[in-house]
Amino acid sequence: MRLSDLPHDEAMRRLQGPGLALRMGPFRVRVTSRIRRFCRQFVDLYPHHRLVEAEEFIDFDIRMKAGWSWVFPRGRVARFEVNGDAPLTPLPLGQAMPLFEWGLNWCVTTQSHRFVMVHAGIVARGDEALMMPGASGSGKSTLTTALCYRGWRLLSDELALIDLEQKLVYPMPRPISLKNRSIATIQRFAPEVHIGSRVTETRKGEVALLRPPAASVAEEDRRARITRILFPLYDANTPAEGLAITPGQSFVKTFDSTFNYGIHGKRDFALLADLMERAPAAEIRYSDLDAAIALIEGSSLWSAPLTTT
Amino acid sequence: MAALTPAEWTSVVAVARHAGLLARLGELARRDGVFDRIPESPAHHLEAARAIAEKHRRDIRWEVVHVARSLAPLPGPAVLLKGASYVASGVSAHLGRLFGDIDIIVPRAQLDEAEHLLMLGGWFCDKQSAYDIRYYRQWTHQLPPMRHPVRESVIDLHHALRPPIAPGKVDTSDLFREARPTELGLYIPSPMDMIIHSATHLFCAMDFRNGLRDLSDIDLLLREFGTSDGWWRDLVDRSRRFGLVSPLAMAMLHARRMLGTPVPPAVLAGALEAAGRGEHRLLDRLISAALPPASVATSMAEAVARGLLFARGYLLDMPPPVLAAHLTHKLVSLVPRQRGSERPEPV
Repeated sequence: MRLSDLPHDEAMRRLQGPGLALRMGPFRVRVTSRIRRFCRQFVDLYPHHRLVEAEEFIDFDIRMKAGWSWVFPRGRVARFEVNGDAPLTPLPLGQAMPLFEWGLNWCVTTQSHRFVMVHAGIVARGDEALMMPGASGSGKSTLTTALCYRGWRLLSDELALIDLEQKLVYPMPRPISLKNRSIATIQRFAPEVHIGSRVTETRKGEVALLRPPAASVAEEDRRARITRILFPLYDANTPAEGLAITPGQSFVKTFDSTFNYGIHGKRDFALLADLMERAPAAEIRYSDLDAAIALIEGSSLWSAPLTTT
Repeated sequence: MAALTPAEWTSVVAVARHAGLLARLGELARRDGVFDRIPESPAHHLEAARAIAEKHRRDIRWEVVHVARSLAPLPGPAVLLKGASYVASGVSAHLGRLFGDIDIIVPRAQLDEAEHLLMLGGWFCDKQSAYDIRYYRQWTHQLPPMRHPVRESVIDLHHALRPPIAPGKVDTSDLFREARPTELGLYIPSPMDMIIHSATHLFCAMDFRNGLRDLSDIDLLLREFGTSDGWWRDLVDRSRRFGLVSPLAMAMLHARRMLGTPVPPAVLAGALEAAGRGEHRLLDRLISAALPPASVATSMAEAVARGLLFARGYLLDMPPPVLAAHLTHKLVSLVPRQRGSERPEPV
């Protein structure tokens, strides 16, 4: 049963009362909040996710609470609480939805060390995944979104969760966070996108949260093998051009984007080194999404051609 | 452990994480051979916490080597305290232990030289106002935290077990006499002194946020070393010589009450009597309320109890006129500090 199968009133009642528990990739997340606007946005952004029906273990028990603060001039703030701790700075009440997304990312990246975690957009065709590491502002979310509306499935726009045992990526498709100019760019590129929450004046500027595609959420248990690594960089003067890079360069650049590298000692090194040996890597600069996708799906960029379709 | 429901596992993991004991829970389950019976999802969290604790252990050993190198010219022993001493000695309290900083004690006469050597090694105090310098040096038993700007380790350099202005005289020379060197280059206290210091730190301290974790350290140490009646008697005697029988009695009382530590009843009664009182009703209730994460959310009662104990810690440390002066200074400096206290932006 999916969240959209639940009557809207019942979903709101659960969110504001006992909590609403959803499967999110490898995790079970329970959300509780009395902030009505947040609850409406949550229901609007997560309709395709499965409800946790039976009594099951909950990985992250999250409360979004309204409160007062003298730090922000306008007074009302939203607080992110997980398992009784409040690890993040409260934000103005209207930013509760992005705060939830950032907070859940915080939970995953600080507590889920069965994975090597890379700050990356990640999409797949079939069981073969393309990982796009990069810092905020590199354009990885924009390119991730664009690929998702051209036949790829979304694993995540933020987190590549690479399992230490099987070395597979676990999908965790959730709302995609787009910032500033990329919001309009994506609306032009894929008019069918659904924006569930739009907030101005965050610390990252304007942020829009896009509902993740239903087909990607339906396949969130389908793990994938990383077969390509791409380092995107938005460049207004270049439609799209790219260059293959060596495994060594790819290692160093990926290493820069990991959240928990070193926590497992040598195992982290071995996993990444093995990944770089297997997966060809390239850098691209782009401003034209169609041209960038043509480059990614073509054969000129890679030292070995993409095999799957 | 295997008989818990999924909802109970949810609470166990949340509460253990809140108390800083998630990794220790897994390590103890492993030691007792029951880890395999823990369901997969909570086991993932225990394993993740273990990875963090293992990383802390590796980092702290590496850092201790650096500290030892810096302090090598010091004539007297530099002795590790608390978490770092558990790791350096390999006692059971190192199991699943997380670390904030490295506590070191040196003889008072060598404090200035130790500080100088650590500064040459790259650590320095963030707090440098004239008031802070006077506050820490004259009124407390440690220097302000010294931070290494590159490796970001933090050292608390102590020169006494209790603040010099606190009532009662604590002679630390016994601690240095019985400390022994480790392969990492610094000294560790005898197991009894580890216990007495940990108890003193917990029950004279002002911060109970890690209270249950610290009590769990004491519990593991008492279980590991308390194997004969003679040992227990020696422990209480030794704490009396330090003038620290009161915190030891409190630690034994609460460890037994909350964690089932097998403290012999006669030993406990004797220690409480030597401390000059039976069970102190109000204080005991406050501590019982502040130590455990009673519910997942920090309950009101727990917060209030912690606040009162914080005040008690100050009262124990400082004669009232000094306390009044210190609190006035803190109040004056409160307003600008809050404005600058935002945490970094989330991911």
